[in-house]
Formats: sequence, C-alpha cells, structure tokens
Amino acid sequence: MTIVLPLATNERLVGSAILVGVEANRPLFATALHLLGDSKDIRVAIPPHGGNLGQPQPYPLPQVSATAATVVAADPFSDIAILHGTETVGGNPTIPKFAASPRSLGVGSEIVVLGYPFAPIGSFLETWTPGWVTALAIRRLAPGVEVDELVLSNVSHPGSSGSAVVGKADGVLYGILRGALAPPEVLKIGDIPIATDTSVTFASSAHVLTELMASAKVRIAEGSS
Amino acid sequence: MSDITGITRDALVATLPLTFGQRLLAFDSASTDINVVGALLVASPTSSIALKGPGRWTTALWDGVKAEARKFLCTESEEYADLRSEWAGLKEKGSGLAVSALSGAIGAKLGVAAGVLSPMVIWILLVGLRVGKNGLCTALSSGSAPTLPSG
Repeated sequence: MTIVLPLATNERLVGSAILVGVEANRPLFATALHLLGDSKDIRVAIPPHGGNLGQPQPYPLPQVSATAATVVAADPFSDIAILHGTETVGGNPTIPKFAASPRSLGVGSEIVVLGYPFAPIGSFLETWTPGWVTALAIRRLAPGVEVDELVLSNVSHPGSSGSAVVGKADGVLYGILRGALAPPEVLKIGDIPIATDTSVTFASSAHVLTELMASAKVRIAEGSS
Repeated sequence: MSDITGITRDALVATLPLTFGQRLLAFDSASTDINVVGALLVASPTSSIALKGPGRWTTALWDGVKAEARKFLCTESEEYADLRSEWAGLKEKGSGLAVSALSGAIGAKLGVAAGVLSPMVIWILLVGLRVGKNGLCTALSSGSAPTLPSG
C-alpha cells in the first residue's frame, strides 16, 4: 500500500506527498518541486484515514493534524523534491518499491493514481483513480538534459501534482504526477495556458527516486535537515 | 566579502542526486553561461505542463537568488553579517553545511525553503570555482536569465 498525504505550504493545501521512506525515525515524502516555489512553511497533513484508502473518509474536516517538513533533496529537471518530516514515525509504515528504470512500465499498462484532487480548494478526500499509460515521453530541456516521463489517460485536477502513479498489478511506484499537457506555444492568460488538455496527464518517472533518496540521506546525515 | 576557497566541486555535487549533479558538472565543464543554467533550473519544473497546484513556482526566483548570493559573496552587506562571521567554520565542517547555511539565509530573505534553492546555490558556487571570485561577482551582476521557450 502506498501512503499519500495532502501537502500544504504557507497554511494552504497545494497537492499531494508520497511516503517513500523513513530516515532518522522521521518520514521522507516525495512530491512535485514546483509546488514549493515560494514556500518556507511546508507541512504534510494527516487526515483521519492516514492515507489508508481502505478506510472510509469523513468529510468535511474542520481541522487536520500536520507534520512540518523540510526539503532535503531536489531535482529541478525531474520536478521532484524529497521532504523530511519533523515528527517521528510510529509503527512500521509501508514503503513502496520504486520503478527500476523509466521503461519498467510499457504503454497500455494499467496504473492507479493516488492523491488529493482539488486539495487547493480545501478537499482532504483521497481518491484511487485507475488509468493507463498512454505514452512514454522524454522531455528535452537542453542538450544533454532529458527527463523520462509517463503520459497517463487520467484527468488531472488542481491538487493532483505530487500524486502517486502506482502499478495496478504490482503496487510499484512508477511516477509522480506533474500536471496536464500544455504545449509550449499555446496562448496564455498570464501563466495559465488556454489550450490545456487535462486528460493528457504527465508524471515524472519515479526511477530517479533512488538517487534522490541517497542525496536526501547524505543531507540528513550531515545534519542539515 | 566572503571567500569560496576551501569548497570543492566534488563536495558540492556530493549532496545532489547523482545524475543531476553530473549534469551540473557537465554544464560547468562546458563553461556554460551562469544565466543559461540558472534559467533552466527555475524553468524546468514547470516546462510544458499546466500546473496542477496553485502555481506558486516563479521563474523570477533565479534573479532573486543571484542578487542575494551577490550581496553575501561580493559585498559587505549587513544583512549577511552573521553568516559571514560563521562562513569559514561552516566550510571547514563541510561544503554541504556551507551550502545549506547560505541557501537557508537566502531562503529566509526570499521566503523560500532552503532545499529548493540549494541546486541554484550549488550552481553559483560551481561557477565561482571555475571563474574565480571576481569573475563570479561580475557574472552575478549580469542581466536577468535569458528567456526560454514558454510552456
């Protein structure tokens, strides 16, 4: 079971964070880096179901507990950040396996997206949404800088960023959702692309988490978390 | 003014994810312009996607980081006096700690988490190791980031 929790910055829900490890008895979460652009105060909320989708989820929630978190690793090219919670983890939480490579999952594979759609409007409702890998993409940022991505059939919503893309058959974490297609040359109003297709959803391949986690552990060991 | 001697390339990238660090080193070895990579670092998280969060990421971040790094490294500004007094000791303890402290100080000024800024701070220090203190201060004073393809 992959545990996904709501992410808040500056006391506002912004997206989702995935429990990907425990270091120094504190949780490590993966999320989308772009959610953290102007945020000093980062918290991972813990709704009553604790990220266990097998449990019914009461709503609305007047208030929800949260743990503060610091950024201990970031890869701007992959748009992924690793957060280290400030409170100790109880029990023995389930940590998902990560994709071994960007080609671990093929086109047509069944996946499930776990996350908090509409978190920015206050929703703590976690959803389990099945879909398919519709393409394998390589985002070319600059000569020599390419990022492996999964393209999904799922519709993405505000708050979907940071959601887990999990293999339906094996529970492996294959991706971290970034957003919907917005071709580079589309018209925009401010920063909002007009020609966004929310049914063409992009996720960074989660195989980079292995390196990000190693980087996070170095940072934590240095005592700079 | 703060010195960057004692910091090494290897120690700087040791705290980064392996492939990402190698890419920064490759840019550095190719003498890539400081602003070209800076623009890439701030633009890439949002490139080609419609954000599915509140969209708080801003490409102006690079100019802010450059301006603050310049204050610390190239001037005697009071704002960074405390960090300047601790800088030599931090470098002795490890480049990672020095990067974290500088990223934290800049983050406090810009209202951004230190860990988000660390890749940019490391890139600035890598350039400094390549071009020297004076060259870095000139580069940090140079114009804003070049425009990248939108999206």
